[in-house]
Amino acid sequence: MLEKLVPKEELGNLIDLLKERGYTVVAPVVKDGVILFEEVGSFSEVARGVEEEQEKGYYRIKEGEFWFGYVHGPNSLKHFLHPPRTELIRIKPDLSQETLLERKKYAFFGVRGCDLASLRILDDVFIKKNPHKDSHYSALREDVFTVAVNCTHPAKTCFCTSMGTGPFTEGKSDLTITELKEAFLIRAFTEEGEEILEGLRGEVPKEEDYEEERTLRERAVSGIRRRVDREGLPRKLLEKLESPLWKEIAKRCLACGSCAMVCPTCFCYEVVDDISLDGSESVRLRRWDVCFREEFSAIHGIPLRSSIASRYRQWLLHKFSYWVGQFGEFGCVGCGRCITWCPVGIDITEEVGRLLSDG
Amino acid sequence: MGNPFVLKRALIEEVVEENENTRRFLLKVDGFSEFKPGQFNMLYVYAQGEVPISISSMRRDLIEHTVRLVGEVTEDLFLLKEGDYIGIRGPYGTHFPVERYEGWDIVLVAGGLGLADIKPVVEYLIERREVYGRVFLLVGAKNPSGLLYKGDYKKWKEGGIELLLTVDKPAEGWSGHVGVVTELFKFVELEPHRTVGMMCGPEVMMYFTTKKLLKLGLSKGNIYLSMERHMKCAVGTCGHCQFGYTFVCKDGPIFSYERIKPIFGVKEL
Ligand SMILES: Cc1cc2nc3c(=O)[nH]c(=O)nc-3n(C[C@H](O)[C@H](O)[C@H](O)COP(=O)(O)OP(=O)(O)OC[C@H]3O[C@@H](n4cnc5c(N)ncnc54)[C@H](O)[C@@H]3O)c2cc1C
Ligand code: SF4
Ligand code: FES
Repeated sequence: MLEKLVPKEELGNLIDLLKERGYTVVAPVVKDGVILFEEVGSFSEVARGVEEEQEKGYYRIKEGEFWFGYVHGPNSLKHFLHPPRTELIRIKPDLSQETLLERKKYAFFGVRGCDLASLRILDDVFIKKNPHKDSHYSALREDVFTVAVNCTHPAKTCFCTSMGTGPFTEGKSDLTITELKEAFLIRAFTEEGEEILEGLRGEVPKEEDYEEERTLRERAVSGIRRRVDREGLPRKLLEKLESPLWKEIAKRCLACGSCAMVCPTCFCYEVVDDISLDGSESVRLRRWDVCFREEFSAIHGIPLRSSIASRYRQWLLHKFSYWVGQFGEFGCVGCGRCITWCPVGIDITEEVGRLLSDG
Repeated sequence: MGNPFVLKRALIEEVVEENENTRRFLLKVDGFSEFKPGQFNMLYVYAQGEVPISISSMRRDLIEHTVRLVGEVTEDLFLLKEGDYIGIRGPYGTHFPVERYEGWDIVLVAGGLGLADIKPVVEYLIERREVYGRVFLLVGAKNPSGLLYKGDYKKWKEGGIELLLTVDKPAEGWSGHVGVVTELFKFVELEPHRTVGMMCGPEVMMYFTTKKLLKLGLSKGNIYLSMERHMKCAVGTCGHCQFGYTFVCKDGPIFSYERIKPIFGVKEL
């Protein structure tokens, strides 16, 4: 591991170094009043000096002292690796076919512990724990480089400590940044990460820098208040399939699917044929789908999960119970996006707690 | 890494009408992979979409599928004729593990179109009849015209299959049993410790059949069901076919009851 104390104004060069190596750099920017991951051309576009206020159904940004005093807005890395719309294959009436794989070499800058965890989880779904490897996801995923930021200002909606995914990122990315008051403490965990860090001006960190980092870390961890008790959770929830609470939650849930859209691990999609006007070609597309849609589960026209209660149950149990059976890991990374972006403020951590205590 | 959505070309060599809304499609497909009883394929109708359909015969010269007309894609499939082409990919999913039960008695239970998934098991067993004990095949349908593959029954009986039929509603000329398929168990003598049950049909039918088999003394691990869920990809990534902690397309469609006990029969799951 290589580690360096890098002056703040030097960080912009990191983006340039990544671009020189042919990466398409994706970083958080401020857009329409929220933080969004987007492709950036230079460091000047990256969100800086911003803090967030997040609560159930609430999101605002404001100015802040730290460069990276925010966490994340509604979009996530899945928008890049499993985009809302992907062309799967082109087919002609004689059934000849052509695959146009979109390849990218993404560098994700400013990702958080929960974001990194979501990459590992999507890897399991599309490649690692799937006998039918997904070529489309792989082509976007293979060359990914990650520059992670350790969270110093977790949002009120965060619960990564419960899910074991954050707020620290050491060893889980190519480069990791901790923002100190006057400088960045940067660590490299891969060969390429080291090469890039070599290219940045900096010095050997001193004891007082580590001291400052420790204080910031402690403050971050103690700022995370939401909790999910993971102990035996998949089995405990499986015992709650017939709980009356599902109906109660369904009175509030609009089945809008916002939670699934912003979730960095929700991967479900539908496949549609997009036919050219003259009928000479059909492009098979996959488009994000959500289990809150009634037709999602329909078999020969009859929805299997017709009640909202059953659809909310599907969503919650998938994250905290089924996923463990399917992939050996939880499907939730504790980022809290679903809490912030639910228009009626349903908080999944509260609902899990209620199911366990009296459901 | 190959694109998992690539299709093979399948020539519709023959179409056989089973009843007013069910047809058998016999497809000529070059280099189609080995498959096992209970597996399924994705069939693609140009510009319309794909549907999961069980392989309904063990024959290898042509790939056989039995399709019921229910909605968009199947409607367009029914417009196609001998000589037309469709796309096919597969085989997918788990199979009925008949190879694990040599020497055992076997009870097969099929409801309606579920017989399409059970027929390959019947054919497999007839080919290796001497290594199995008694084989019962219990078939139920709504009415006599819902009983598929009538032309095969004689062959099956001659092949050592004890075939029992029932219909919910008789029609003129029907002299057989009337009632739900589980009632046929009264004609079946089982040695539960060496009997395996395999079934396919509507979920309620499988629910009651499973209950019956358990009551007769079969163990949870020796009862196999073929599950059905909405499917879009068949390769474990679209999420539509989820059934609790499983994906029907890759962990199923054939499950032992033991594997799905906590979730089977739960409404809207
Ligand atoms: C493992 C498996 C094996 C099957 N075997 C057979 C068979 O041997 N013969 C047969 O006739 N039918 C079989 N089915 C059911 C068959 O797939 C549906 O009847 C068919 O998908 C309906 O498509 P549609 O477009 O005509 O109907 P629509 O109701 O218009 O369906 C639209 C879409 O929804 C999905 N869908 C709808 N119903 C089902 C369903 N029951 N299962 C999965 N996806 C569905 C499909 O993606 C379909 O294209 C099987 C289903 C599964 C899961
Ligand atoms: S929980 Fe909230 S965000 Fe999710 S579907 Fe229900 S109302 Fe929409
Ligand atoms: S059909 Fe897509 S995940 Fe099973």
